[in-house]
Amino acid sequence: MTPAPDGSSGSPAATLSTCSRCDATFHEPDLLALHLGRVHQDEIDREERARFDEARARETAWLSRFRSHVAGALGAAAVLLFYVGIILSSYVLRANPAFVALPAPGIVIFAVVTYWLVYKHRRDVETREQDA
Amino acid sequence: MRDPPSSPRRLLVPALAITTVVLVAAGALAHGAGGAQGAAEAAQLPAWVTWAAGAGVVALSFALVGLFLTRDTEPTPVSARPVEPGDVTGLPRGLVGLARLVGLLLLVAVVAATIVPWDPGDGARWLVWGLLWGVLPILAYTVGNLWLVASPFRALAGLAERLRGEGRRLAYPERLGAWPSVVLLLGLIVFELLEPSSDWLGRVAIVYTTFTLVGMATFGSRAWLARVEVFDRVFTWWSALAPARLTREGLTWQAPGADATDRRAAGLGDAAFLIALLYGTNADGFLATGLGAGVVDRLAALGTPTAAVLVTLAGYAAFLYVFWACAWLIHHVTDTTASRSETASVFAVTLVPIAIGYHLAHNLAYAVDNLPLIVDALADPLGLTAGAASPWTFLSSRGELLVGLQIALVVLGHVAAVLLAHRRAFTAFPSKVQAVKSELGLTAAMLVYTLASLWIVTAAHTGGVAG
Repeated sequence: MTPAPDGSSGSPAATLSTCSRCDATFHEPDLLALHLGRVHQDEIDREERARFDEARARETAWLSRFRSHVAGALGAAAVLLFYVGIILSSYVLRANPAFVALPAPGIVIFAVVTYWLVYKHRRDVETREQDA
Repeated sequence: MRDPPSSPRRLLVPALAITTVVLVAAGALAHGAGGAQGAAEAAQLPAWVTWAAGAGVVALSFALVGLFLTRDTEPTPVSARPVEPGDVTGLPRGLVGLARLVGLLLLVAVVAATIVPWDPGDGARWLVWGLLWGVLPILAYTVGNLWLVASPFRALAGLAERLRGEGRRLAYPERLGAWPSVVLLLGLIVFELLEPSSDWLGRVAIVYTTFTLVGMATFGSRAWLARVEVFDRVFTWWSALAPARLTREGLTWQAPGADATDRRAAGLGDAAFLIALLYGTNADGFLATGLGAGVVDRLAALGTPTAAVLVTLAGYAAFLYVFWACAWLIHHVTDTTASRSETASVFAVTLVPIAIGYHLAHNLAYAVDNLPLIVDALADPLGLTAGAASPWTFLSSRGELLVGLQIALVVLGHVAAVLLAHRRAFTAFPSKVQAVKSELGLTAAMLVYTLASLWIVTAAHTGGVAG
């Protein structure tokens, strides 16, 4: 963890942002801005407030994408769960394995498409909510 | 405007969703487990269906938390305080004195079992494994830290301080931290696996009491009870989420787990202790599985006790490794400047619901059905009269239903842990992105624990319920 000699491309430890009020350290300036806005919210000046708002906007965008992915994954999981039901009942009823194997590619495509559709839909909804 | 972080209204929808999922899944899981071991009409479902479904519920609870609880909750970073046992100074002195006297008398009863000339029966075993290891932990996490009031070792603290006098004032080496108590707990877990007779229990009680007295007299009772005394630490962890709190002001009540969001383990040793507690509730179950028994058989040349010790230590090392890897993962993905052992200490608290789920799953039937024997042992620990009590059977006779209950308890413990991890993460980091990423790391570790413990519960069932 030695800092680079020219200081331009050092390891993360070389570019720590330190809180001027409580000596907490962060690897990212954004994290420092969020720390200031959430821990020292009553003591920050206008510039720090602006940086906090920017950092929070980036955070909100990341979370919005994350939630859309989660929703997509849940949609795909619902499709796969339906298929798991078919697998288990065919196992219990000793059905021909072909009943399980043949639809598999189609089910996988169905799940992927569901993921994409739900993700897309959630993105649209969240973007509209943020604009409003 | 925004609701406060944990307003009841915000939590209602996800809580309802998760409860529904768990109830539906528990029914399906119980059915799957029944199929795995009992006589089903058609082909039996393989047991891994149960494990996969349990892991699926845990992953699903993380997804629901991510979907519903990340939008309007604001992180409120705080600096965490260590989990503490509580303070009895707020209680009436007479009450504490009476409880300590009872605790001391019970310790004397366990010790006396090895001295009395007649056959003392199984009273000491019921006092230790039934009361101390089964009933008291259940009371600790549902009500509060009763051990703190009744601990015989705390009762002996005054005597130890008098022995200490002025001359030999040694300071406890802080470098050791909580590690001596980890060693003691592992010893206790192995000791339990060897199913000692009342005679041996008495001898070990004498050795441990002497050890504690000497320790307190050498390093001071306060330091010794806080760092080394193993039962104090056990019940500190068991009562970490309890509704009743003992404080300087006396007894206070709170919602279960309400103050857990700004708590941490007192260092890496304390976190390792919690993992040992978590693993300890599973250890007997593990030896009852085909794999555990097979390994012990393979090592039979070493003698069964040695083999049991080795298998226990290996299992503990695996659980510890998973937790350490999880701490590394959190440390890595959140890009935090806190050290890895600090991260591990902060997030150790979120494992308490898992430990409670395991303990209930492995001990509920044992503790409830043997209550008559435990009460009998309390009334007459030295077997002066022929005991007429016989255990109840209304839980242990339920077979399939009991396995379903055990699975539901294990899965519920993990779901509660995911929720607690969410609340903990939002008080540990200033950024929601960091918080969500850390939850991802914790959920990964919890999935591994779910799979391991469900495997133990379903595979060990042939070997008895509580072991």
